[in-house]
Amino acid sequence: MKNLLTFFTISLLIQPSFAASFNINVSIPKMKTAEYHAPYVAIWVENNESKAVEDIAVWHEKNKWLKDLRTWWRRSGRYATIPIDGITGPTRRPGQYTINWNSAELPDGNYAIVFESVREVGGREKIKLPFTLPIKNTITKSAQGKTELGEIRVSIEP
Amino acid sequence: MIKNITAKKMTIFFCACISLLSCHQAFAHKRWILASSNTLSSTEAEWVTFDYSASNDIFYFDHSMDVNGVIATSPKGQKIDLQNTFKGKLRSVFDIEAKEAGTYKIGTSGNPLYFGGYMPDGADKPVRMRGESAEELLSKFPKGVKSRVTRVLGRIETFITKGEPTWTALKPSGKGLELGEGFHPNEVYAGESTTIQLLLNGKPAKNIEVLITAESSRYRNQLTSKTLKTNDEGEISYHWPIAGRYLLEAEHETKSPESDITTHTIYSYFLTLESRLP
Repeated sequence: MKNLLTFFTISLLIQPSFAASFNINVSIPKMKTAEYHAPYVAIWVENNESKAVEDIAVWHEKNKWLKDLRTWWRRSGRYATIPIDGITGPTRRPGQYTINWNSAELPDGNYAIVFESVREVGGREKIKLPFTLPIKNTITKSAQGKTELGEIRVSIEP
Repeated sequence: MIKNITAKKMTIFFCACISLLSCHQAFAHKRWILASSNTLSSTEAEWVTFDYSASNDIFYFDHSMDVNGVIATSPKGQKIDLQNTFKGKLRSVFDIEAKEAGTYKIGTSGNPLYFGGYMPDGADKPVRMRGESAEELLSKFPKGVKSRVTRVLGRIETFITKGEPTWTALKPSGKGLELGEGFHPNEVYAGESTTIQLLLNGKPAKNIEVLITAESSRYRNQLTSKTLKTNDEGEISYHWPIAGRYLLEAEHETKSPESDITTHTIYSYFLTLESRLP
């Protein structure tokens, strides 16, 4: 709370807020496998020191296996109280999903959106899309997952 | 007491250390407590099971160990019960129910044990025994025989963490060889380096050899232990090459002062830890 207050104070004094809007598209690929379980997925923002600064979404079923989202668990999950309001939710089946997110709470700097996906009797994949605040023009970043993630596309508007 | 100790067991504990005249170098076997999971994310109570054994290969059972010597400490520093204990020939097993969030220590007490022996007249092999105190042992030796008593302070430990890592269970006791402050055994990641401090009776354990061995040694031609030496602060630095379980071990021996009832003290420390995927 204190940090938040400090941040708002600083924002008001020094920097007019240039919150960017993020349109995040994630696809969960179809698997040709007899035993299929929907993956656990975590999407969060890290700063240039790999520190998690904001969770965007966590799709999971049992808390017991959240630790298998190894990077997210290390960087964010283990410090949080699960469930996290507005962040944690059920797993998703293969398909394309859209999340809208806003960078209002972040000061200018270098960041990355991290996507981590892990599947029971499957594998784990992690993709990072770096971005820099403030955003001046609309940009689109994308990456193609190889195993547990499909196409990832992020459009960022100032 | 003596009846309970089989020759084999004595061998495991202090193979060379009993030799009446020569000095002892190392224990015959590595000892370890291996957790089914070192990292937990449940918000409810979660069961964890442990294997406890002594072996040369890491981590393959060879000699079961005494479960009664193990203490599980909760994140708040309370002793918690070991459940479903079992002692087989090659390994011992126990479970704990991890209810609280934080870091648990599962390890031996670190209290001293005394190993002794004497050479009966005309014998070519010493009679060996072990006890809780040096006095107890000496009282059992015949008068006037050549004998020796060694104090052994050994620790065998592992740590598990549910949720956020905490430090209470890691507080050093000031006795024997143990972890210093500042290093958390559940904060080890492949591809990263950590600095680990060891303490000897509460002070930096300087100039002591530390061995780190990765699991699955059975499937390698060499044990490929990494040997490191602690600096003046009692620290080593290690870069964890791959994810997996590792055994860290250290041993140190000191000569007792003339006035002491023992001839030597042997300190040992065994820590099982897990290097996680970053």
